[in-house]
Amino acid sequence: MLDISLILDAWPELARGIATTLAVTAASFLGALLLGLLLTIGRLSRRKSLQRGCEGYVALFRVVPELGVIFWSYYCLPLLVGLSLSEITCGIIALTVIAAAYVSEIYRAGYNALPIGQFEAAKAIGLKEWHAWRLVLAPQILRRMTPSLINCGIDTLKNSTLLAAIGATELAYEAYQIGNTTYNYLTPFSFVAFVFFIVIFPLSLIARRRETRLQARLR
Amino acid sequence: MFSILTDLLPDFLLRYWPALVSGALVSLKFLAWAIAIGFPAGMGIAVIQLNGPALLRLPVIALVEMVRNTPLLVQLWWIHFAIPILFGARSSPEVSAAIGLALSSACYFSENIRGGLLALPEGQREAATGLGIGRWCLWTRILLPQAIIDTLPASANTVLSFFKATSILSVIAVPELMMTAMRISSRTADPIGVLTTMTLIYAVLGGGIAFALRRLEAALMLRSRR
Amino acid sequence: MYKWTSFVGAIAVSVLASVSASHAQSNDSLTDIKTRGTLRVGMADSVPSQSKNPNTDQWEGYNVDMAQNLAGQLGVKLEIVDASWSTLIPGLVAGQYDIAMSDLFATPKRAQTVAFTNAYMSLGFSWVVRADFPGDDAGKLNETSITIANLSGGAMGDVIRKYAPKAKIKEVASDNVFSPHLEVASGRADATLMDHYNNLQFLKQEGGKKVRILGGDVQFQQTPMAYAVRPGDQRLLNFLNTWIAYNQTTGLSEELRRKWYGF
Repeated sequence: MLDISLILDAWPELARGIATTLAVTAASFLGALLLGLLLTIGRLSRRKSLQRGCEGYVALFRVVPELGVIFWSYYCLPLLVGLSLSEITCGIIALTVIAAAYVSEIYRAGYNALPIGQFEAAKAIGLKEWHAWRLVLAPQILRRMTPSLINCGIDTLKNSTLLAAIGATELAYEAYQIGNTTYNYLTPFSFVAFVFFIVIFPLSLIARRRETRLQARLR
Repeated sequence: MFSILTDLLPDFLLRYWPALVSGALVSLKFLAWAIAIGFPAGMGIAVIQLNGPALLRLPVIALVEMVRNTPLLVQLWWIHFAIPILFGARSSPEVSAAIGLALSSACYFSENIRGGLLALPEGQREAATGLGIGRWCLWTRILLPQAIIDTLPASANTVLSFFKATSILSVIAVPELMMTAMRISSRTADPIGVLTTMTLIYAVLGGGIAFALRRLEAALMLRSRR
Repeated sequence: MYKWTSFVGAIAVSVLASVSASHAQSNDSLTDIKTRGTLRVGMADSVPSQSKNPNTDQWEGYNVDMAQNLAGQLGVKLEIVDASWSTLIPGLVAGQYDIAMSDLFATPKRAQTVAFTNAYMSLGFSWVVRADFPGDDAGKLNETSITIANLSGGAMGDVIRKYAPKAKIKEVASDNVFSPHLEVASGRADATLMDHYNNLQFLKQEGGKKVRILGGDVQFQQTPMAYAVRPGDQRLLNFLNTWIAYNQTTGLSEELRRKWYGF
């Protein structure tokens, strides 16, 4: 049932699908890093309305299924804003707003863990505020957040397979195309699993190793 | 903008609300199953990963990596077709979904618990050994309870992400909320209205689950401090 | 060490999975069905051909009545197994049921994986275009500036390519049959080709106001639909072809078509 020739025949489409998957993931994740920052600033703001709004956003996107958001951004968003958006654009918007909620959680956890005492101490021994941030606080916070951020990026990559449902020509879409025309779904689906494993495994190893090192340091 | 929203609501809701209710119940049933099987199994997997014999540890690590590094959609699809071939038994969508979901949630819960176990001070184990406490007692009465309490927020996140993941069961035709919504939308030819309603139902249910989890977390944290 | 061992383990698991997937199936289902006393039929949702009523959780439609008749002819019980469109054929090949009875379009590429019966019915197609599409001439669709949405996998893709080779085809992969219609309604595509029945259903809805059927009520091609069995399941295939021809003689096919499709 595994028929490698199907993969070879459709190689140009599959290669394009892999490129699209990676590009969509990268764009969405970068967008989420920015939107997540805005959300975190909003959540930490003293203005109650802004704070509630941003908390509500995070709470909402933590529980609504990705597929629902993707459908919505594709079918309903264009009606609301009166613009015709391509499936790739809608897909990136959907994945960005979902990931931003998670990124914001990670940022906030990082903020909560800020060692303010160290900041004071750094200033007391004569470091300028900027230097105290750059040399003392930032490295610790980044180290603490990196594993979670990598995991969030991995989730965004996996979620990109759901964009097939709106016709974004990413890897899973190309796999469905092969399955739908030949009725052999096992081969393309296994290929998708293989590609994902190759991409994600090294990333998750890095996240894991960093996490272990961090735990050892914090102990 | 509001006219779009009000136009969406009627008709299919009146006709198909029982179906939406039963679809939501099926989603919740699978979530309950993913927690009931996945959480204890996750504990076992975490302990084996950290302290099991090499012969057991390696396949378990490989399994966890396989599950965490491929999309659930593809895993479900594989399980649905690997079961009849490996065991010669037929598998209904529900059975395949239950197996796939439990397997996946066990791996994710195990990662949370493993992280919690790693963060515990090394001295505890040495002290327990010094006091002559047995290994079973050490893990079940001392290490695991602490690790579970410490990683409750992470586990709550995993529960929520599996609540969302139940929607992916529609790829193998499990009649959960997403599948039900698809069925209604192809009968009413009104995908936008049905999908919007479905998204709202998920938001409300998920909000309830998140609230319940926070309460549970607070209660457990309080008890552990006593 | 950790990295290396888990990598080897992962490879071992995937090899095991792929080797076991090449397991062979029995190729005389007709005898199996008789000895088992149950006919297992796989179905994926498509209104009105076969679909599960969300309220009653029961399958209903043209092919459900047909399957009941088939079980009656064989003197066995009927068991309908739920599938989605992407699991329907893999489930058949994996032996989860004996026949896939859904509105399948037989194509040569697909026939390399399954064996199709003779056509049990054929369905007319019509074009759905944007409401502001000029005129009723289908020839206007054959332009490089035109985008035509197509529900991926069906026979429609080849028909569109034949009638409008210059147009850009946008494939939509979804279990929702109305996805291509939504493409047209939202202005992302200029037209789609679908069976006339589904087109009429969509026109009745909210989004239907933004589209129209080209040429009013014109169905321009009859496309045959078939059932599928496992390749090599020759006895069952012969039996099914005889049964299909017999149903056309007795008028059962026509009666059920009126009941479910209304024409």
